[in-house]
Amino acid sequence: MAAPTRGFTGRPRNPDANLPPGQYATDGFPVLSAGPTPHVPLPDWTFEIDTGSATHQWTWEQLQALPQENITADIHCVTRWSKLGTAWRGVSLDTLFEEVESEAEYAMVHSYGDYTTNLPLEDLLDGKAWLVHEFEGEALPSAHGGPVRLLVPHLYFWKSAKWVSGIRMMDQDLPGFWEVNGYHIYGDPWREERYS
Amino acid sequence: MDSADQHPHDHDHLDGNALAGALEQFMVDLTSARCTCAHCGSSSALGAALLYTHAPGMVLRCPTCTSVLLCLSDQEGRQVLTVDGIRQFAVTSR
Repeated sequence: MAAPTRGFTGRPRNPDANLPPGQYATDGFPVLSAGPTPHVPLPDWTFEIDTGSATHQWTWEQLQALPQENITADIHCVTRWSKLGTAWRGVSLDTLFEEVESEAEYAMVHSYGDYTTNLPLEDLLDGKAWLVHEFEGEALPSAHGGPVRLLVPHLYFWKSAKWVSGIRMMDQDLPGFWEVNGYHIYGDPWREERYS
Repeated sequence: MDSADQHPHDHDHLDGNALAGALEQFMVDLTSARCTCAHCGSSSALGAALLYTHAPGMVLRCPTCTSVLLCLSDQEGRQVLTVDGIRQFAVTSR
């Protein structure tokens, strides 16, 4: 009698349950950048949400006056490193969107410099995304996106735009910088959505 | 109207395969090619542009205005090249 087979069990499980498929954990914090690092003086820094019919803008001081949250999250880069248990401080996008009215379902995130990345609006709300300005208790270094970067830890880290400057609401899910260049339009690390 | 209806029914064009010979002029080390930035219009040798490699793909930027000229990504067996930041490539005929 033939020995019983194990049958199809799907993709091998990563030995660390906190790591999405194809990722490895690192204690370092690699610096990835597609261009020169912009240096934005805090008095000149602004963040704006453009709905097409209205623009909402916050200065650095106004951002600091909003309720601040401490966030601990695992982050996953499409180049396969993950960093577990990272600590950030910043403002929930829910707080910023409290005063924004828009029917649009998609967002294009813009950065100082020319970087963009696209997300469905629902991935920025309900406690899933923040504007962060501290990392591990220190001011966020410019190499890692300071003074302020987006943090959307449930998606690959290219969606967490460094040097963030604003969000433009869109009726369609148009691709941003890496999405135009062959990376996945959504980028869920648990589904290994790396490429289009 | 289907795509066949949109295809020009004339005898003035060939198919793209006829470009094969002419494109052989570009089978050279392209870092010596001059490229014109689609953003600012400046022209420089591709080898003089600014290359950023610590990223999910290699990003080449204009040495004059730093706009993206091209992006080349190795996506596990698929090479993706985007060149919409270059208005023109020029190589010297061999």
